[in-house]
Amino acid sequence: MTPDPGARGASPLLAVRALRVSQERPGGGRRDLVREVSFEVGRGEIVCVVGESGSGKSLSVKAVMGLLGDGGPLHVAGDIEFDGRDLPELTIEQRRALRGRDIAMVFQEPLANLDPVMRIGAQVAECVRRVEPQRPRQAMPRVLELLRHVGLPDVQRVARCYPHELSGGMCQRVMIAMALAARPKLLIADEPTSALDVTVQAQILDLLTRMRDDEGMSILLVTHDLSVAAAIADSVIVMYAGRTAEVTPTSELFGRARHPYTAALLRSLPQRGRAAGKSGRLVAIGGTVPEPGQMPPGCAFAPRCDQAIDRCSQHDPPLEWSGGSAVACWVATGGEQP
Amino acid sequence: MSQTAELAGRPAQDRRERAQSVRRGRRQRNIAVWVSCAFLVLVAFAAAFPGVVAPGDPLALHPTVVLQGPGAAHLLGTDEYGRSVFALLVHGARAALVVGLVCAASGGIVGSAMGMVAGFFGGVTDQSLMRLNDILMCFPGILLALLVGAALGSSLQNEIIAVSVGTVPVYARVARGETLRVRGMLYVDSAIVAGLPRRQIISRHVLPNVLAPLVVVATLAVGVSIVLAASLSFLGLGPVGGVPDWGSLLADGETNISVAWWISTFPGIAITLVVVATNVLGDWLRDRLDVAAR
Repeated sequence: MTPDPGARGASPLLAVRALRVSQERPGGGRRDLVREVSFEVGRGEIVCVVGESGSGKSLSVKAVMGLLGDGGPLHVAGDIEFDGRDLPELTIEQRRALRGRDIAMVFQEPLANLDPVMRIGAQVAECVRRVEPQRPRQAMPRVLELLRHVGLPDVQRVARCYPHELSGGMCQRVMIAMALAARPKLLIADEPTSALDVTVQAQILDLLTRMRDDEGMSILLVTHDLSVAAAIADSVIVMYAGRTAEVTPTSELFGRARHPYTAALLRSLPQRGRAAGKSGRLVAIGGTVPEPGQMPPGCAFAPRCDQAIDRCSQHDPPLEWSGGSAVACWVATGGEQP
Repeated sequence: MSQTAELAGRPAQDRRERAQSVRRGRRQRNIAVWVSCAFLVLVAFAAAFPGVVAPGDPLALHPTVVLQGPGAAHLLGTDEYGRSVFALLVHGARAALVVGLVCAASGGIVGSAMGMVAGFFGGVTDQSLMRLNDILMCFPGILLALLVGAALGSSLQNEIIAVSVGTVPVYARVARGETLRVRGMLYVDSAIVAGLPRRQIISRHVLPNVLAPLVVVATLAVGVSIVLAASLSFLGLGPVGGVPDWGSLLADGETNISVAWWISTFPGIAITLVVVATNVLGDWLRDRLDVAAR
C-alpha cells in the first residue's frame, strides 16, 4: 500500500479533534495538560507526533488508547474517532476488545514492558492466543513466525529466553512482534527508539516502515526526535505546551515549516554540511516551556517567539486547516484575520 | 585509582576481616538451615510412618508403668495411663504438620487472592476488602480462632478452618502491597494495552511476580498455624477422640506437672522446635528470594 497524503480526509483511520486532558487539582479546579489537540492518521500512513518533553504528546496518545483510566485524576474530553467508531463512547469491554486487536501499542522502555518472570515465547503466545484462542503449544508456530518477521535471529532460542537475557533492541523487536500478533490496523509507538542506541534505532525504524508496507497498517509514532520523524513519517504533528502547533506533510516540514516553533526546532537540529549558526553553534530556543496552569494569555509560544506580534500575547490562535496541513499561528495565517 | 590505594593499607585488612566475619556468619547460618531441614525431614518421616518410628498402639494403656520418668525403658517417660510420651508425640506429629501445612496453604490462597484483587482493582474493591481484612487483623489470632472454633464446634476440620482464618490477614496485606508495586510496572500496562482479560493479567503476570514474598509468609504461617492449633487443642477446642495432638498432650500433662514434668515439657519442646525450624527456613528463603537485599 502506498501512502498518499492527498487521500486523507476521505475517511481517516483515526481522527482526533479538540482533545483535552485536564487534571483535578487538590485545591479544586482543573488545569489543562493537553489543550485542543487535533490530528488525523490516514490508512497506511505513518504519522509522527513531535514535541519537547512535557508538550503532552505521550498523554495525548494514551488518551487515544483510553489508558488514562476512568475515574482517575485525569479527565479526557474531545472527539476520538477510530475506524468510524467514537472511542470515548465505547464501554470498557468494547474498548478492551479493540486493544491489541485493532490498535496495538509499543512503549519506550522495552525491557520494562516485558514480564521479567515469563519466557519470551509465552508472552508472545499470550498475544497470539488473545486473537485466536488455542492451546499454548499450537500457538508456537505463529510465535516463531512473528519473531522471525521482526528480524530476530535464532528464534527458537529467543523464545526460550527471559527478557533480561536479551538486549534492548531485541526486546523492542519482541514488543513489536507482540503488537503485530493481531495484525492491528493502527500501531501506536510511544518513543519506541528513545531507549536504544542509534544503530539499533535505525533498524527499528526500518522495521516499522517495513511493517507498514507489508501489512498496510497505520502507525502513530511519538518522538521528540525530528530526525526520526523526517526519516519515516508521511506527516508530522508538532506539539507545543499541550497544543497542536502545526500539522504538515513531511515533504514540507523542512524548508516550508509555517509555525515559528517548528522553524526554531529545525534550526536547532545539527546538520551535516551546514553548521546551523554562522559560528557553527546550534541555535537554541530561548526560555522554557510554560508550566501547565501558568499559560500566558495568548499563544503559549509567544514569549519565546522571535516573530511575535501584539496579537499573539492576547489571543490564542486557532488551528487553521488547509488541505492536509494545519497551523495555529497568527503570523503564519496572516495575522490580521479575525 | 583510589581503590588501589585503599587495597594497600589498613582498610584492606578491615575489609578482609569483615568479609571473613560475613563468611563465618553465613556458614553458621547455613548450619542452622541444614539442622532445621534435617529436623523437619525427621518430623515429616515420623508423621508419614508413625508405626515405623514408634511401633505399637500409642493409645494402649499400661497400668504397670504409669508416670515413669524419661530413661532407657521409656525414652521420654510415660503419662498417667502408662502410654509412652514418645509414641504419642510421634503419632501426633501428623496432625501438627497437616494442620500447619493445610492452614498455611488455604489461608494463603484466600488471603493472597484477596490482596491481589484489592491491589489490582483499587478503589472501592480495595477499600472494602482491606477494611474487612483490618477487622480480621484487629483480633488477636488466638481470639479469632477461639471464636470460630467455639462457633463451629471441635473437630479437626473446624480447627483447620479456625486457624486458616487467622492467617489470612498477613497474606492479604503482603499480597496487596506487592500487587500495588507490580501494578505500577510497565509490563502490566502493556498487558492491559494488549487487551488481555484482567483475570489473565492477575494470574499470569501479577501472581508470578508477587509469589516470592508470599512463599516467605507461608513458611512463617506454618509455624504460627501449628502454635495456634496447639493452643486451640490445649483449650479443648481441638479434635476429640483418636490420637491426641501436641496441644492436648500439653493439656493432659498439665494436671500432673508437679509430679511428672516430662508429659507437658516434651510436647512443648516439639512444638517449639518445629516452629523454630520453619522460621529458620523462612528466613533463609527470604534472603534467597529477596533481590533487593542480595
